[in-house]
Amino acid sequence: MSGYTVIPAADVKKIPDANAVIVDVRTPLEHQTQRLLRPHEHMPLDLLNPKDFMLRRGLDRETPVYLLCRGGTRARAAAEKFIAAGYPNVHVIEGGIVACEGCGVEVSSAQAGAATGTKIISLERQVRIAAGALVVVGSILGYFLSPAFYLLSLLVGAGLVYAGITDRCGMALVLTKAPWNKAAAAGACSIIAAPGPKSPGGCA
Amino acid sequence: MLKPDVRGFFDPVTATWSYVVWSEGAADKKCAVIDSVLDYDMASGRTATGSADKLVAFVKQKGLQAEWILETHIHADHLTASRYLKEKLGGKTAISRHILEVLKTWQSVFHNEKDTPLDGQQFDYLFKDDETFSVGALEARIIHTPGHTPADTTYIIGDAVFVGDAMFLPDVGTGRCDFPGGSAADSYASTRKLLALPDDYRMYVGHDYPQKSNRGPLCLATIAEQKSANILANQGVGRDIFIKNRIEADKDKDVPLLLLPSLQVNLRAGSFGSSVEGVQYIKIPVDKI
Ligand SMILES: [Fe+2]
Repeated sequence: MSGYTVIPAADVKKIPDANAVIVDVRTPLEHQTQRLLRPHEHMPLDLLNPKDFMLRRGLDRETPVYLLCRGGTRARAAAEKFIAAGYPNVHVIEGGIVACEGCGVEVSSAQAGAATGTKIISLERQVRIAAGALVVVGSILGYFLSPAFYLLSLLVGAGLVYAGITDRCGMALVLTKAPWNKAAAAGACSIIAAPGPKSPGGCA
Repeated sequence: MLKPDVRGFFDPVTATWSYVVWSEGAADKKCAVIDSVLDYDMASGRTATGSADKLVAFVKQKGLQAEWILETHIHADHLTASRYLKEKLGGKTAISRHILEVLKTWQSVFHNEKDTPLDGQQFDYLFKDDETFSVGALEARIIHTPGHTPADTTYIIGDAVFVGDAMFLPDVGTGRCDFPGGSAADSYASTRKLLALPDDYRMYVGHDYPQKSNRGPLCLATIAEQKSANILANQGVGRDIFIKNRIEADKDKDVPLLLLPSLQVNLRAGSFGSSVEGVQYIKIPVDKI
């Protein structure tokens, strides 16, 4: 078997809790801001190692994997990682958490910075701010210093067109690696069936 | 060496990992089940099989055949579903022969010898230390890793090491040693035995308590990771320090909520024992624990 399938966001409601895993591959900050209310795992795309991820959670090769991001692009990249690692049962949730929210899948309400006290700017807004700033800087330097700087504005413009057409944004992928997008949690946390409020007197 | 496939099932109520172990690479479809959970509500005395049924469904869906139903030790925090699983899936229930010491220890508390034989015949098989066995084509052996309880056993199946509560994940540490027959000194020796295994062997733990580390439950660390990072028992920790820290950590620890039913049922290999007019009971010894 090769390749992953793409499922509509509404089908998230049909994914069983047992013997399937939903992996949210967004940044810790995005995940902290808004996430699925049902059990799922969180592992940012740039830290995701499919084999290691599955082994450490006791999941076998055939366990269905459902990948989720904001709009579907990073989930596709994650799905390709799983396919390359030899997993046969891989699915992308079309439209990501935005689409989930739109079709009644239970999602925690977006609470900007509630946990950290800082204002969280969504990745998409970060891209707009960064791209806009580069165009402005390119134009100013091009006017005052050397026309060569107009190239910068040209490149960013072309990049935005490319991103719009292919739905692949290089700048977003770079920005996910920025330290402020990782601040929320150390590495990978997960929300899958964490132990009860107080598991009384364990064995540790 | 044939390496096993492992499917873990986490019970969030007791933070227990149960495992199904088999090999996709083998022609046979044999599997072992390790440390299963029977759901039990202390207040009502009611049992449920939600956790165990997940295992049953998995084994059936995969078309596996249960050869062994194994326990790493007599659990004090959850009830085993071994008897239920044996009914549903077949297979032999087995545990270390050291369980005979544990049966004797608790006899003076529960006086259940009528339906809890002291010779361990309630289990289909009792392993000797270092005995080898097989799960289908997979080679397996057991090693004695006491400390948490005197009968704790580790099953090594291929390169997968099922340690029960002898060690936990690096950020959690090791099993408590304050139960009757427990010993921090034994526990230290057991951790050294485990760390002497090959670096790339996969250690699967019997519980995970991830709350403190802000992560979800995980089941595995390599021997190399345990050597370098286990907070209580990494390679660099000396015997005296380990014992001191272990005793310190166990001071005034709560008794597990399900201690009394767990011990009685687990010592009977998953049975609630004899009945009066069709009713089975759990004893609650007064001022004995
Ligand atoms: Fe235990």
